[in-house]
Amino acid sequence: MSRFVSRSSRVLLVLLVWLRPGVASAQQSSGHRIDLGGDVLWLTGLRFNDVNANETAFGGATRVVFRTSTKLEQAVCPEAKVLVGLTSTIEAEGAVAFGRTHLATSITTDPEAASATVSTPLTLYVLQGGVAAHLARWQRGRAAPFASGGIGYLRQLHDGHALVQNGPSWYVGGGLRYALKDDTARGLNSAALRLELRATILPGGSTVDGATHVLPTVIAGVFFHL
Amino acid sequence: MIDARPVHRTLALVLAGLMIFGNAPCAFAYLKFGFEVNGQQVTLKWNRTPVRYFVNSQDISGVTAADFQSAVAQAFATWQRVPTASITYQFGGFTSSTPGDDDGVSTLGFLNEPALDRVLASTSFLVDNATGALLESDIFFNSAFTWSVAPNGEPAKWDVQTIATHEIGHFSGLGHSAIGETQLMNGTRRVLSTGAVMFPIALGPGDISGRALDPDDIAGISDIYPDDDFNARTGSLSGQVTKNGRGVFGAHVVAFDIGNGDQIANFTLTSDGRFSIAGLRPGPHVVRIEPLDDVDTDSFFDPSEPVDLNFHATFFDRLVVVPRGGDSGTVQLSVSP
Repeated sequence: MSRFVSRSSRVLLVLLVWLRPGVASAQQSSGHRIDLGGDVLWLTGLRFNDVNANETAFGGATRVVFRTSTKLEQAVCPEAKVLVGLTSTIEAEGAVAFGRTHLATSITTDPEAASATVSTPLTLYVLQGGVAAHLARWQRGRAAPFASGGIGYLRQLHDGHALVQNGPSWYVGGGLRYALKDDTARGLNSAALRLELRATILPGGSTVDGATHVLPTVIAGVFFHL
Repeated sequence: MIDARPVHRTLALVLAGLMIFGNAPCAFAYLKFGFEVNGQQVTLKWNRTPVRYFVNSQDISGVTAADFQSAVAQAFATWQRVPTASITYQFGGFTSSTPGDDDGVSTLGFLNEPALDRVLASTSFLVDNATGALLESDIFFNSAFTWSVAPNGEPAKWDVQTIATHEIGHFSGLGHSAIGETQLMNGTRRVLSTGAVMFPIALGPGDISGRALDPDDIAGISDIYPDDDFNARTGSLSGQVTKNGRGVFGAHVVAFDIGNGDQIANFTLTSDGRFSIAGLRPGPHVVRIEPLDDVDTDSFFDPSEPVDLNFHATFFDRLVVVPRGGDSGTVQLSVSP
């Protein structure tokens, strides 16, 4: 765990260093601007490695009894997020999301039993924190692109509240912030849309099959300056 | 004290021995031997470790007593190395005792039993009638067969270490596992594959794959002799198998871990079709139910038990999530004729 965190920190550091030179014409507001908003977090689904039911034949050869293929189905999760301006172009962000989906396993090639797909409902809890850096160099009018990165924690519970999987995650991504109104105003007069694409990386300890996977994630929401 | 019924390792088809007890309570990882004491079923196990064993000092053709002892020591070490189990064994020395002598000395050795032309080896027990504790367990290897102790096995010879690994599972209190596939050919049942060392039929002479334990074996030995936190780190899956609304006795239920492919199994052991599979890694599992059609039911049940073979193999229609340190809750599984 500690190794994971330090590795993530290095990634973020690199990201910040790379982005800082281009911020001269970024937002005018001061360093501690706070935005609060609501997102829809779309976890687009994930297919895990296929796993076979193997037995041992004469001489140590492997004989497959049946094959399974498991996927985490897509989930649309409402998310609350807070953005805190650290500098004129760097924001810290923290978010919590909740959603429901299914874990589904397809079973094939069993000579004795019919192929089947079996599943279980899951409840997802997602906690994420990181930074977003506005790419002022490419800002066009009200649209400001940004890059993001951070770490998270994904907890998957079966409906009976049994833990299916949990563990850390990290993400990198980027998107566009579009100011609907005056971006320097406050409250409802400061509404901005935010669309982001992320690669959420789930390391082996956080996945059913123990392998690292990338979960494509789409986030869209609206934010207000407090 | 009584002599418990022996369990035999077979060459092909015929198995002798009762593997389980009827109406077992449902808290067991797959098959363990049981013993009735004052009307209560208790798990047959060694109460004190290390378990001391002795080796008969008689050589046979091609296998010296020293070679034999070295091979069985490796088989004992295989079980002792299971990190989640606490059982240990200790070689006590060579002895003139022979397997089967009720002398309080657990002895492994060869006996020439040509009449047992399908029995490679056999384990017998001496049990304390009052407590159900194991007092002695002997393993005989049938010298009517040709044996090998070569590191990589030898064609047409049975591997002592492979067969010893299976028998030491019995010696430690494990019954047979039904994770394996067989095929009837010309009236004889041939093994296609096995998913547990404790499968009752050996793969064949020259094969040494049975020297290594499978997840089902590891769960079983850990269930009988758990280390300090085995039960806290694993979970169980329990349920009931019914057909036309009535319990199914003797259904083979396999829990398949979709994350790593482990298969761990048990049977429905009550007339109302209840089962429990312990020692599972927490997380989602596929559950497969099948009739015991791969080997003789006598390998697992008393012939008087009403084992139901008349239903189709099927998968439970949901993934079952096994919690850490707990049970899945009763899963209702329905099968059809």
